[in-house]
Formats: sequence, structure tokens, C-alpha cells
Amino acid sequence: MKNNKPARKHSSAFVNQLLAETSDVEKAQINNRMTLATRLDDLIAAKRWSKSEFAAKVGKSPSEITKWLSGTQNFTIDTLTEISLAFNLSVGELFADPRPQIINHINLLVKAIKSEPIPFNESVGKKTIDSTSGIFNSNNPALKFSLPTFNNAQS
Amino acid sequence: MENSEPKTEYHLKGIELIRCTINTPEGTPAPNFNFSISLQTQLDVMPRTLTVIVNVDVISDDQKNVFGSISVNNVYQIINFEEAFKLDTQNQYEIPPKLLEVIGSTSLSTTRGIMYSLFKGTFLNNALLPLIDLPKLKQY
Repeated sequence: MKNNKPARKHSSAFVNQLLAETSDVEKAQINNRMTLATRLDDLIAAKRWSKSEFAAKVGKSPSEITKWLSGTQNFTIDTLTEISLAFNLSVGELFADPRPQIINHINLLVKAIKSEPIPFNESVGKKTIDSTSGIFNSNNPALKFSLPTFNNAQS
Repeated sequence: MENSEPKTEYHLKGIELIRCTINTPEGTPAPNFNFSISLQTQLDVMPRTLTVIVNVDVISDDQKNVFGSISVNNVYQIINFEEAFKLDTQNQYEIPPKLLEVIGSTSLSTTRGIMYSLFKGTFLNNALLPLIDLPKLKQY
């Protein structure tokens, strides 16, 4: 049975008290630990490693890795260095937001050949494919186009 | 011959109309419509999405006047991200070329439909985005 009720905002005196007692520094520390744990989890998944494989690469036990991924570990700079080397990253990149990777980027210029305007309601002609250009042309002269020009900026 | 590319499972997650402008020229009949098209595919690792950003400018013959402009983001959710995409030695993901062609073509078609819908009834009514066969563009 479908539940159409919206989620209720939960309020707890105990939780509110805990949050009030947490300083801004502690909140930032927790946030950084959780962010790093999430990043490690993503990196391990991206490499298609198991926790055991990752543990072997950094010379730790699998249970230690489980603790790291729980977000409760306070890493030393030496441990972060070992982790970054395992992933072939710098220590700073462990904390950086992974930026989108540009896969490809192309620019095309498709020029009209004929300058006759066509009425709004005129039907479009039968489509034919131009085997050399990759552009489908129309029998309607106002909708024919020349070869595209390229400015490919693949990165 | 066996296809070595892993099968990618994905679905269309969202279509975002980023920008749409129409600039009506003064006192001139319906002009020629030329198209400046930009297609960019980007990978976002954290949400496991591929986004195809399509920018189209409808321009004059001398390319100095922009009659209309549209920008559309087409977001595709990759279901089996870790299985389908592999990291190369530079920590960059390798995307199957066939997948790029399919989502590129789909995004162009989507943009064509949005353009037609938004430009209908304006002087850009006949500015139909040409059909482009991406696999035939070796640069793609």
C-alpha cells in the first residue's frame, strides 16, 4: 500500500542537547573524518579492491580498514601518506572534492545552404542521409546544411 | 567477434534546461539558420553520473548575430559504475566509446525536441536542429 504521508521532522530533546554541547570545532572534525571515510570507500571501490586487498597494500589488518571506513579514525600524517601512495594520489587529493572529469568536448558548425525562408506550416521533406558528413539532409532546400566544421577539444 | 566492452547499465536521471534565449531581428524576413553546436560529456564520480551538456546557438550566415540560444544538461545515472568503467594509470576513467555515442545522440535528440517546443510559434519555428550521426564524426 502506497504511503503518501510526507516525512515528519523529528525533534528530540536529547539529540538537541547533544548537538548544543558539540562545539563548532568538534563538528568540523567529525565532518572531515566522515568525508575522508567516504572518499576512501569510493577510492577502494573505484580500484575494485576488496578491503583485504587494500589492507595488504597499506600494511594493515582488514579490521583496521573497517575502523577507518567507520569515520572514527584520527589519522596521522604518516598514515595518510601511506594511503595516498596506495592510490597514487597526493595527500591533498584525498580531501579534495573530486572534480568532474571531462570525457570529450566537440564543437560543430552546421551551415545552411539556401536562403529561402519556408512557411511555418510547410511539411519537412523526406530525409536522406549524407554518407560523408554524418549530417542527415532534408529534401526541403531550406533545411539543407553543409559539412560541419570541427573544433575538437578533447581532454 | 566478441565485444570486449563491458555492458553498461544506465538510465536517464534528469533533463535540465539551463538557458534559453530568443533574439528577434528587427525588420528582416526569416533568416538562414546556422547552428553552432557544442557537446561536452563529463563524468561525476560521486553521484556516478555522466552529464552531456548541449549548447546550441542559432546564428546568422556571418555568425555575428545569435538569433536564439539553448543549453540543456542531460544527466545519465550509471547503475554498474564500478563494473563498467575502469581507472587508467592516470586515475582517469575509461568510458566505453559506444556508450558515449549513444548518450550523445540521445542528448542531441532531447535538445532538438526541447528547441522545437520552446521555439514553436516564434520566428525560430523552422530552426530545426539537424540530425547528426555522431558515430560518423570520427572526432567524436
